[in-house]
Amino acid sequence: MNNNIKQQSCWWERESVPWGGDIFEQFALKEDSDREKRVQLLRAEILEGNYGKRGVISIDRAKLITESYQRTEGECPVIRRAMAYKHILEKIPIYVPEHQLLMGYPSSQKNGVEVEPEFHASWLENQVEIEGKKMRELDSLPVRQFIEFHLDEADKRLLEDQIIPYWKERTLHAGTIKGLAHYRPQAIDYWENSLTSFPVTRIGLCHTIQDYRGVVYEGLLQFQRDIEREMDQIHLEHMDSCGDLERLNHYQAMLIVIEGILAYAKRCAELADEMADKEQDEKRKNELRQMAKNCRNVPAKPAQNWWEAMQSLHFAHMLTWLTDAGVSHSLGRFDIYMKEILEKDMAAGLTREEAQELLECFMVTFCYRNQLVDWRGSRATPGWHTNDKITIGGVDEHGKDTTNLLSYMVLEGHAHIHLNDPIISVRLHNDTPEDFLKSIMEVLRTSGGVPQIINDEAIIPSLMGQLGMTLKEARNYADVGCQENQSDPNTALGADAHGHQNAGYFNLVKPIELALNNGVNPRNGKQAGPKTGEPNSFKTMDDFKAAVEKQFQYAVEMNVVINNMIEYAFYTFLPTPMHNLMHPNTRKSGTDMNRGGCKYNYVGAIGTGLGTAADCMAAIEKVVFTDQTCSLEELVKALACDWDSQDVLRNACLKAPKYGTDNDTADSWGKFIADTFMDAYEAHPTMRGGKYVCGFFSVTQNHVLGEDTCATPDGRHAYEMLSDTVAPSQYAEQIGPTATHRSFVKAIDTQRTVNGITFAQSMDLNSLMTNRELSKWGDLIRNFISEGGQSVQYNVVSLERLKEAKRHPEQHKDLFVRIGGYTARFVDLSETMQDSVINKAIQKC
Amino acid sequence: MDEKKKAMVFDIQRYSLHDGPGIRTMVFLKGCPLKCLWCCNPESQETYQETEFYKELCAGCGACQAACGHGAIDMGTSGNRINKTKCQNCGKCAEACGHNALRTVGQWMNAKEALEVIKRDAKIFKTSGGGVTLSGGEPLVWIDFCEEVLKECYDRNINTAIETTGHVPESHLIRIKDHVDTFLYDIKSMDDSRHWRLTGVSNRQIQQNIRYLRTCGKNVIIRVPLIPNHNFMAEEIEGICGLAHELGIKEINFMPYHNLGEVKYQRLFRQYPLKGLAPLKFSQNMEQEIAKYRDIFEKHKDITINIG
Repeated sequence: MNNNIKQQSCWWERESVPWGGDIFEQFALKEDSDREKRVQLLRAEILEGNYGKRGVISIDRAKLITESYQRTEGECPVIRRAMAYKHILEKIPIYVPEHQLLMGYPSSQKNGVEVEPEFHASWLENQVEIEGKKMRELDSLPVRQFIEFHLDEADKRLLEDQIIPYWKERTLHAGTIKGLAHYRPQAIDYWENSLTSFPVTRIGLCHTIQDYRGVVYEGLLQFQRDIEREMDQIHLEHMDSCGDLERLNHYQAMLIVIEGILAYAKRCAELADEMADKEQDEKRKNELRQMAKNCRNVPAKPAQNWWEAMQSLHFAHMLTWLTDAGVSHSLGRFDIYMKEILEKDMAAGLTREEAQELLECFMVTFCYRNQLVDWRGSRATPGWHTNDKITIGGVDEHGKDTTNLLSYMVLEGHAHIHLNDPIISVRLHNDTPEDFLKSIMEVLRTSGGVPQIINDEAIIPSLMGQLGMTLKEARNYADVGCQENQSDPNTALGADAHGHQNAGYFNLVKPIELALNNGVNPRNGKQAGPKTGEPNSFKTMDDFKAAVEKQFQYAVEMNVVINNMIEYAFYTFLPTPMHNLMHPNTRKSGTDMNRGGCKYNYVGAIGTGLGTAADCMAAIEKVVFTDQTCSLEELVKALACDWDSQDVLRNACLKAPKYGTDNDTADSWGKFIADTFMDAYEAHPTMRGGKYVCGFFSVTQNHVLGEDTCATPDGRHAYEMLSDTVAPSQYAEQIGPTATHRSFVKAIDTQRTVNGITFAQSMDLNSLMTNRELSKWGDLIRNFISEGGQSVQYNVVSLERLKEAKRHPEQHKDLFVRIGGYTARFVDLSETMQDSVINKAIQKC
Repeated sequence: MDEKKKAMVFDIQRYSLHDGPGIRTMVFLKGCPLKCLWCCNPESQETYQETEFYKELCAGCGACQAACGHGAIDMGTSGNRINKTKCQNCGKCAEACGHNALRTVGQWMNAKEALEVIKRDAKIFKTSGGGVTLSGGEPLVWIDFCEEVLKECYDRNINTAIETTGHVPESHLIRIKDHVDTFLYDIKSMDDSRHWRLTGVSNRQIQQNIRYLRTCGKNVIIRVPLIPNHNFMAEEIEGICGLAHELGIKEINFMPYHNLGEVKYQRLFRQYPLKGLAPLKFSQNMEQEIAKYRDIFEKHKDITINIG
């Protein structure tokens, strides 16, 4: 085995990337370190996939959960669920990646993805059309373009014959639809026909920061004692309400889950010992013995050292995937609550190199989780993300900077691992140390996009203002998923949150499209929104604006109804005892997360396509009502035929003011869209005693929602992507980051957008090569922080991007390159010039 | 502020990282007394608004022809859509074009309007130590505008720089010198007859003006385009380094020749004077070529030499 390690090279030795800077000098692990080579070997195994695919479908969890559910008919839902988890954890085969120092794997096979029938059975037999061919989702899994999986024929038959038929009417989706069919059937029509927003029912509960601190420092046996004490307080002979019995069931369920987790840890210990017995290599034998010993102590008892702490964290994090499933179970302020045990162990003799190796062995496990998503989802998130995040940096509860050794260790781990997960979010504020900011930029320059930067100065007040958090809780926020922020119970003890951030990506352009077509969705010809008037009935821009507002309000109402029904379906059919165990307030109160067991109970909605939507309004105002180049009816006709023979009209629309160019007219339309959207959501409370809140970002949903959207008045062709995040659309002239940023600040009140904003920005790698250039970039970031921008994600343009831009110029209009005293838009250059720029990038790397 | 102090602006670039300290806003003014053979911004040479033709976007619809009041549009297949002898540069054709194939370059802007754009980034200037850079063309063709913009910025503690050919009356420099933090000053050749041949003007005024600025103690950075076969030679490099040394100038930026502006000549129906000359920038042997002059650079250790 040692040979394997010795021969392993590190990724940055094979790729041409700028690998250097102050932080790189200080890395604990270098290319020639066997510790780092081990991590690189673990990394290589992930990229290698299985059966020649990126991953393999595994049905072990599905078989076990079905077996258990068939045996427990008649039990109450939360107990059934807990018993099923226990059954899974007692029986599921344990895969151990060669050389890994931590035991436990979220699938029974290497690079496996477990079918979670309680969520997936709702769509596996749906028909999809892929490249003109109709097929079942199940059959498409091995052949689809993104996230393709190997699927064994026998496993497929078992899914078809036994598993899917059992679950089909028992899924979260089925439960939601049943509820809607009884009480608000028009919401189902809206869901299917409007193509405005897609609330998520096809995966488990997502977006939460669990109580890892409790698991690591107290252990599950302490949780068990705490729960038993709570149960003792409930006296069956003197009950306050029937709610007490319900709480008892939830406590009981958590105890069953603890039994399951401890059984899994025990099996890990036994397996590690068994492997050690057979192992020839002395070094590995000792490692396996130690791993077995670790699993006998944690997660039952408090971790005694850094290795046990990583093992304990891994169990808690990974076993949530195997039980409640879902993604975006984030680690919170890792560099704060894990610091104590790191320092303790280092004082006892742990070296910096050992600590880094173990940290990286843990960070790499984030990519062991593969998420089974449907075809649509596979295209929306082709990056394979679980979006489980680690947050570092930021201020403490007294407002002082918290950057410490562990913050730098996480950055080093990220540079070394260089995979899609975990995503690192860095909290910055006005007093972030210069060195830390420089390190972040250096790592960003190498990785191209991560870490993501989030701003304490904007987020802390918004959490206080919008969600009523205390100052101390708000200062302890962390990034939880794509872009959402929550209070972190690991550092703000007890302040757990259920933000249900799956309310869906809302297509901000759709209400405009519906208003133009009297509520009919031109994509499918169906009446999806209210009848707000034929185009010729609008005499002024204000008339049209009112129609758009009505469409927004209706769409949001329907979205809220659906989301409420999803939460009710979770609570009644598929409660979440693992999450309940892992959140301090649900654990203490015996109340399910979906019933309001957490301290903070909001729902987060996401607006996508702000730039395109703002440009549509600006173009309608300019072309139809101000210049009167055509009537609104004529414009609608031109859109219906996707601008066919309407070049002149389209050009007039393209020339209308565009959001993101620091143009006050267009930016005020951006503000109109953002405010209308937020006003509509904020009018609704959640069932759990919180409120609906909003954010603006897109991940890659702007492409998917774009395919549901016909030609739009801003000049966009049918089915093209919508604008990304809060950036200008692809049709807006690029005036540079300072102008774009000003537009964004004008359009969006960032104190309101508590569900998160991503401000994405492309940077030319070639302009970030010297320290002086990095400092200028740092100034831009500092300016962004002090101006109250919420989050910024830099896309540092790589050589690959340049090449890609050459192949697909239409998608890379915003790519600027700098050549001597000359700045040019890359796509405007001739082929030979583009080649020369690409060559320049090669030389620099 | 006098709103009549206007200039023909052909571009404003915000967030420029390379033309002076900090993060800067570049204001490019149209019109230049020089006609350098290698000019990579031919649209910057004339002081009036022009029309560019993007052949690849033209649909041949004829809307421009209908709009033109001077009979200057040629719908033939040669690709020279505009007959320059008839064209009055009124821009009507570009307005009518539905395909964005005809575009006007240059727009009138007064100092106040330019300042409005500049001030939008005032905050980032303060954090980054950046500011505004006036460029061209030769920006001082529009001396009233320049004076106004530079003074207003300087008074607001926005760092000011100007890129100049130096081929301007000394009186222009007298008017602006107190409002400029950095002069980015082009020296194309130390030899007058060569200068005539390469740029169409004598270098006498240029040589006089740089001395004047140094006498006033102004911060000057010399910029030199390196054009193979034309001024990329020991004699010139030595002469320029010597000039810098003599005047106590601390920084020279040498800019190796590239031909990225060539396509713009076609859009303006002009001939590229250096057609066929291989670019020095990006060439495999650029480093070696420049290394030949290492001896000269080493003689002048007091000067920071930047190449790029």
